[in-house]
Amino acid sequence: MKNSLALLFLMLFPFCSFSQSKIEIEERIKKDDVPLLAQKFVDSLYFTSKIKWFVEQDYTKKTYEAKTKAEGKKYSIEFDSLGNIEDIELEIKWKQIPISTQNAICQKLNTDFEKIKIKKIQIQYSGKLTDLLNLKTNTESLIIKYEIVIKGQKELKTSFYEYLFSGKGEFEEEMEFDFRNTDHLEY
Amino acid sequence: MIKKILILVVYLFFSVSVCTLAQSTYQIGILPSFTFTKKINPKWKMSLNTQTRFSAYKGNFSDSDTFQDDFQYVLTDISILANRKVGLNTSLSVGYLSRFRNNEQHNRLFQQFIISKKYNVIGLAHRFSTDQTFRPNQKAEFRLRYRLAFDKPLKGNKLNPKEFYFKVNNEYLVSLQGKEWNNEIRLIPFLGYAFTDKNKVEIGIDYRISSLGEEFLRNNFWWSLNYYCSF
Repeated sequence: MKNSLALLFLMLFPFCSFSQSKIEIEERIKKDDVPLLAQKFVDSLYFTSKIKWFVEQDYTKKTYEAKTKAEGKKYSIEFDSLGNIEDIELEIKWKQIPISTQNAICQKLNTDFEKIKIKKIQIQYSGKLTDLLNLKTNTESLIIKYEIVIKGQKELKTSFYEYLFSGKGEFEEEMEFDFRNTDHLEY
Repeated sequence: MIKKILILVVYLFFSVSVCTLAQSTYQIGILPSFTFTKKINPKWKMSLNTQTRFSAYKGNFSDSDTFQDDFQYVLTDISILANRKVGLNTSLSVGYLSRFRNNEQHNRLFQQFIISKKYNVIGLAHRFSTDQTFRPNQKAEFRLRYRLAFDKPLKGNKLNPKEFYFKVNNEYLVSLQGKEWNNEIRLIPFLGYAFTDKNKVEIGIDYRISSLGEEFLRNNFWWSLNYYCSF
């Protein structure tokens, strides 16, 4: 009996790998709590609307995010933990994606899922800092990607996913949102 | 290394306890528990739990003739708990428990710090808690507790609706009442079934071994039936 208990106890310390699921916690923070580099970058874009700052954390990294609206578009500007710019995202509609890219995206999603519903699309701009500062006037020298959040059903199971496609619609990354309930572990 | 030392210490403690104590009694019964959790917003949730104990048999390990029927209602616990997420994997809880036993009401306050992580295949939760129990005509009891909970789906990498899972709770308790220190270890293997992600039922054997004074050891075996509902 003592051996069985020791075995059970040992089982409680498994060696495991981190999940590739998307798990994030987002918390509103004050501007003063954001690295200066990030503050200066956003100030240089001369947004007139209120800017909301957030810190996002997942298992592997911590990022800062500024959210605002300009000319009816929702901007999301992401920085790494030191305040270096990562990318600028703008929420767009499906019809704003070029037809050839739409077709490539549809082909991938239709292969992966039986049913899909698009919940959010963002065009993602990344590149040199100077080019990103001129985003409002010129996007030619920037790298474009599309980040799409979908509710998809495969093998009769429905879940939320985030897909990343290149500007041409080539598949780059897929992450399933992890909403697993842990009440039965915590109580 | 620290984990190995911890395992060794606990194993030795347990082995020594079983071997050296003169009196070792046992009680067998059932322990149904219902937990309802309401998510208020992304950071806050409230839980309500009820737990009832019914005794069925009792006896002494050293003398098989002492085995006897002991069919009786023992107690009911009702507790309410507020939980706030403080990080990606961490949360703080405070709660109040009311225990109804032998026409008496006991009051307990508890505070918890929980670290829960979800990995590819398994879920792991560390719970550190303290509680203070107040009983009529008795000195207050203070406890320190640590619980490790682990779960794993029996099929595939992720627990899907209408699937079974395996769960183990392992808890260590130290209590102080007046000048008397006691300790207790709990080990509870469960077989669980998820109707949905927010609706689960579990059955298992809640084994508790506790020392009372220097020469008395109490073993409890409760058939545990847990139901969890989150909304």
